[in-house]
Amino acid sequence: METQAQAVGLLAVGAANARTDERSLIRAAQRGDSEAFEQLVRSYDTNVLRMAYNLLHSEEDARDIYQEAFLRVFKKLPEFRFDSAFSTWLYRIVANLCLDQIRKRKVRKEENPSVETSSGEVDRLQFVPESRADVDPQRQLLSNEVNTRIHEVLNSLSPRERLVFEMRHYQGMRLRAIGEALGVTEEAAKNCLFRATQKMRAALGDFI
Amino acid sequence: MSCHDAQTKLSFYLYGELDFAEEEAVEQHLAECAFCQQALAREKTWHTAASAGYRDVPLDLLAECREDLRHTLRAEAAAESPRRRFSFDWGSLFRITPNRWSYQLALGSFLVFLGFAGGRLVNRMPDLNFGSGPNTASLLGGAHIRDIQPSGDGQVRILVDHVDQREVVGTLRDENVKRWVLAAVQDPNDPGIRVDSVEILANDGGNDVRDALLDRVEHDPNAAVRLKALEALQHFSDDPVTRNAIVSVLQRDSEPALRAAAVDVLASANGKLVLTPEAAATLRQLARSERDDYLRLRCLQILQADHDAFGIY
Ligand SMILES: [Zn+2]
Repeated sequence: METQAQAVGLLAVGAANARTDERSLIRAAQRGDSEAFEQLVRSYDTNVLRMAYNLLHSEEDARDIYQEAFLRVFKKLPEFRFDSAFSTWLYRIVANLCLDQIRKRKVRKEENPSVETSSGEVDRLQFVPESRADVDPQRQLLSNEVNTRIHEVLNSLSPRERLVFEMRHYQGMRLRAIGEALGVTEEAAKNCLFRATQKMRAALGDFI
Repeated sequence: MSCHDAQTKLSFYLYGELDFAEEEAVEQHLAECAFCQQALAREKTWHTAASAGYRDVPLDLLAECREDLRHTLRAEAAAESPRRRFSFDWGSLFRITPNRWSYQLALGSFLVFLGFAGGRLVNRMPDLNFGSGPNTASLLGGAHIRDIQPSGDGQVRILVDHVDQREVVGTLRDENVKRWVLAAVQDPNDPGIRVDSVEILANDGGNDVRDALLDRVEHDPNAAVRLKALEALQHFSDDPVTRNAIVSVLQRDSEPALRAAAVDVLASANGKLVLTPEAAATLRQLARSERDDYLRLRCLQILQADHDAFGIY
């Protein structure tokens, strides 16, 4: 009984304390609180890794981006001055790392076109089940042909178009935030996305 | 608005990136133009098709990345520490350092925890025996678990502050050790301790372990702890009580990552795709109602991979 009363009392007192917004987390991490830094990392790292993994189709590259991104965050966090949202700041770091890697990859591929398959990199669509040859349009949608086509279009996008498409279509980020992360205007991000979606539509037009 | 104008805006319309006036104009045009309605349907189709190929990160990869980061930062902090104003306690990274702020945070999560588990806690009060044996109440009464680690060959090492520190070492077969671990898994002060304890319990079976894990999945305020517990429950995925709890995570957990992991646990046994009729029904329900795009598509993917579901779509 007594404990219950105590718990209720604590709840009332704690209501104000329980609010731990991101700003105070960042402040604490800046002061050297490792728990706070961990919480910050964990609120974003799944998305960061997912983005790198799907952009680069390689566990190894995704792993490198993850390490490098959060190491930079760790080193630069003391200088973070809340001029932008933390997520924008983080995605700026991640976006730049991914862009560099995609560009490097393009160069590598042009030098040695077979590298993509021989290095054991995974096909982004390998887990999509092959559908039966029925005529149900919904199922046909996921047929390998469509998937291969999508894969080709994604690979044919410029690094920046690819990144913007990733951030908008897959990560669900707003164009304004994408612009901020890439250091361009919202309008420029929108144009980039427009080109990407046009290429996608053109390539898939005869299938759907 | 011409058909051409409308059609160049369809993708932005689907992304919700048009301003109010543009959106109005597109909707007005769509209402009157069957041709553009068809174009919109095609646009939706390729949006969905593109999303269906999206792959989730293997859970192992995420765990490995976190582990690597822990090592990197520890080395980094060691090299840097003379320049840092406060010393970073990377030796126990991802645990609470006892400064005032984190104490407040801990109190915060403790209170959330009480909010969920308070009733249960009170029920356990009668078997309180301070000092001699571990239980949740003795954590409240002053004892504090400082660290918990597996120490090879199945042994667990638990460091307890109880006025003076004391150390308990043994395997989970030792009832006393097991009780400490089951208490640590509820440690209200430190999510890091809870994560490590869940990991240790993951190697053990039994209803008490299952119940402790279920309790964390359903009630832990920290999403990382919930995720860890959910992964640990993979061993119990045949068990009906566990499956019910996972379905309730799918319906209630606010964290999409948790719901995504729950979908995978629900659809698998021993690493293979196994879909019971009830699980398939849950996934079909989610495929219709889930808010998160990725998750909806993941459900569709699993259902498609599963032959039983064939014919429903
Ligand atoms: Zn029209």
